[in-house]
Amino acid sequence: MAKDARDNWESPTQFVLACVSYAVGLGNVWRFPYLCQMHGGGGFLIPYLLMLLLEGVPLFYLELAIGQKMRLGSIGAWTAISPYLGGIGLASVVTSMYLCLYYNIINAWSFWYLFHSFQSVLPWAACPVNSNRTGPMEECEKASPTQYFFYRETLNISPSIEKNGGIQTGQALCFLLAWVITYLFIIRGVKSTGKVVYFTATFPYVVLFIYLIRGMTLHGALNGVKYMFTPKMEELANPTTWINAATQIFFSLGLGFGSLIAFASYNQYHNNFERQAIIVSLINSGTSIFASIVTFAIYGFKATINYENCLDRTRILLLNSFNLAEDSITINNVFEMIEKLNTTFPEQFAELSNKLEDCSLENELSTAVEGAGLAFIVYSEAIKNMPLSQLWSVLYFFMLLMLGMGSMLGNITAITTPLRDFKFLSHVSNEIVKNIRNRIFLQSKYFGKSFCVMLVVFKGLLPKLICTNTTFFYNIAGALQAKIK
Amino acid sequence: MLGQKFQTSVRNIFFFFFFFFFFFFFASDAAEGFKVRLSIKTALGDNAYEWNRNQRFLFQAAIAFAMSHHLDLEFNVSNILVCDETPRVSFWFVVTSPDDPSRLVGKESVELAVRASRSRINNILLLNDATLEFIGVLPTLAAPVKPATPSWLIVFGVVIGIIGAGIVFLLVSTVVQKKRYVRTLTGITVTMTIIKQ
Repeated sequence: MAKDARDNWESPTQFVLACVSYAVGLGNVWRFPYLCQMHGGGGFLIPYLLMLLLEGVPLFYLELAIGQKMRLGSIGAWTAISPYLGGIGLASVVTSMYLCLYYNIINAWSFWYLFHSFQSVLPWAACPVNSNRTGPMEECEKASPTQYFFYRETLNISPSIEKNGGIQTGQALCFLLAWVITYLFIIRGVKSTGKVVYFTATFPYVVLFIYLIRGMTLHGALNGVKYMFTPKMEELANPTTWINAATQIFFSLGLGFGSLIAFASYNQYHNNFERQAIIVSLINSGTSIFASIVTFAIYGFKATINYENCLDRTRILLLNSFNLAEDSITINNVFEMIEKLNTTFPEQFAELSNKLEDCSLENELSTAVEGAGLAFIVYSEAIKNMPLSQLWSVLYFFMLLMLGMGSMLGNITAITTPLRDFKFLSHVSNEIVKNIRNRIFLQSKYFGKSFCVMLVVFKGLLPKLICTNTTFFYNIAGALQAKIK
Repeated sequence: MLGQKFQTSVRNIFFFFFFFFFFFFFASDAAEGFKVRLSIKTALGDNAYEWNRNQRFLFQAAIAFAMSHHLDLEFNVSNILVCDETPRVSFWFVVTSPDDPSRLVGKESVELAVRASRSRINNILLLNDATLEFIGVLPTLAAPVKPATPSWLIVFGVVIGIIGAGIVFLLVSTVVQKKRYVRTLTGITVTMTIIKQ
């Protein structure tokens, strides 16, 4: 077998879909809407699109160029540009390894939720009954059923990062499954990955579209969408806004991890990656905005439901304290009745002033959540209130799974491609290499949620250093490219 | 004229003592009675019935049933006394002993009786635990249904089975392909050596 014959994508479409699948990941769904809300709604699009133009597309283009022209993984490609730059390639492989370790845990959570959606009553819809069967469990009552399901039944989280909670068998099984599926997807290299990305890249859009229709028809959805799109321009003066926009572009496109170099290295030599780079970057940003419309529709729905529940609780409290007929207070006249009762029975009213909640739709809308909290707690809370919740739940968690798996493919390819390039390893069969690597990764099941959060926060440092180096050498790469062409 | 005044004063004294005993009788309500709150409109919406004397009779009958069922004594509707009704539809009730109507049945027995037949009482009045509240009595919730194998494990088993089968198939096909390739290669080399000779 000729060692020089490199695997290729079967068509340029496969390459584009692979890049889209890698770039469009969980960050588009759970980070971008949060940033939008935190930094002034529609106004955040200005720094975001500016950063896309200034750093997103150029770096994306650079990585594709390096990969395609050098036809090597990140270590080989950077070493080929200059022997002193080989460290960048190595650093990106190490970063990808860290990423792989924790990213599949999120896929394991998605699997857990997906499997638990096949029940007549969703397990996060109601609190479980306590041992006396006199009421719901105390822990669950203090929090909410969705939070209880995530932190207690899914993770069984320990009180602090120092305390080791032991291995959760359910989670371990789902994690094993996540790795087994990843292995299946990369078992034949780009031949298998290329076929898989047809599905992982397109299915999330189908679900997002369905959710857009469902979301827009939900009660109170427009409150959320209006809230999102009202721009608060004063946020643009805040430097954090610009930093967050830059970071988000960086992470969202997956720059500096070596995955794009790896994907591009399997391209035909004269592939037109210029156009593809722009297409993929635009698709990624478009998906972020699309997903945030859906998320804000869901936010609006959830906030409206919570607000109405708050009003209902207040109404019941007033009815019970003043022994009024049931239909004398409705949700619509709660506030007027509060005024009236305050004036007619001041002492009695004063007694229950500490039990009276402050119901405000603004407050509900402004509780912004990001990350796993948004994806697994807020969304599942919204889903349980929808009719036919099992169907929506299955669709949603399958979408999360596709988004996560697509990104995992990129991360794994970033590691396997440089390893394959090393001559001594190419003697060993591909499958065995991947098998061994998978076994090592399975050990990461000892990591819990706290580690995940920590790794997410700090993984960015390494690529950021790479970024500064790459932009410095951008001109050199550009010159090299001209020479090669 | 004297007779009329005498009659009025006697009547007043009579009412005084009556209300005194009445009040005394029900002053101990708080100790032995339960407050009940109904939310009929919340439960039934348009089909809500109006709370009147007949509905109250039904409630008394339900409690009498619960007491008889729990204590194995014969309680009558007249043993269940209801008072202090409000427009909310909330009221207090006490249970008197069937043998001695002036004696009240203890709070604990009433509570146990109500808890034991709670679902029955709810169904009689077309309400549920949330809309028919006995203040102070904890509800008895249905035990959770636990299937032999958790349903998620079944789905998990199916998925991992399919994936495992896929992996085995791919690995085996790679091995078979390699063997076939080696065989053809040896075949070609042998043919080439024969042709050369």
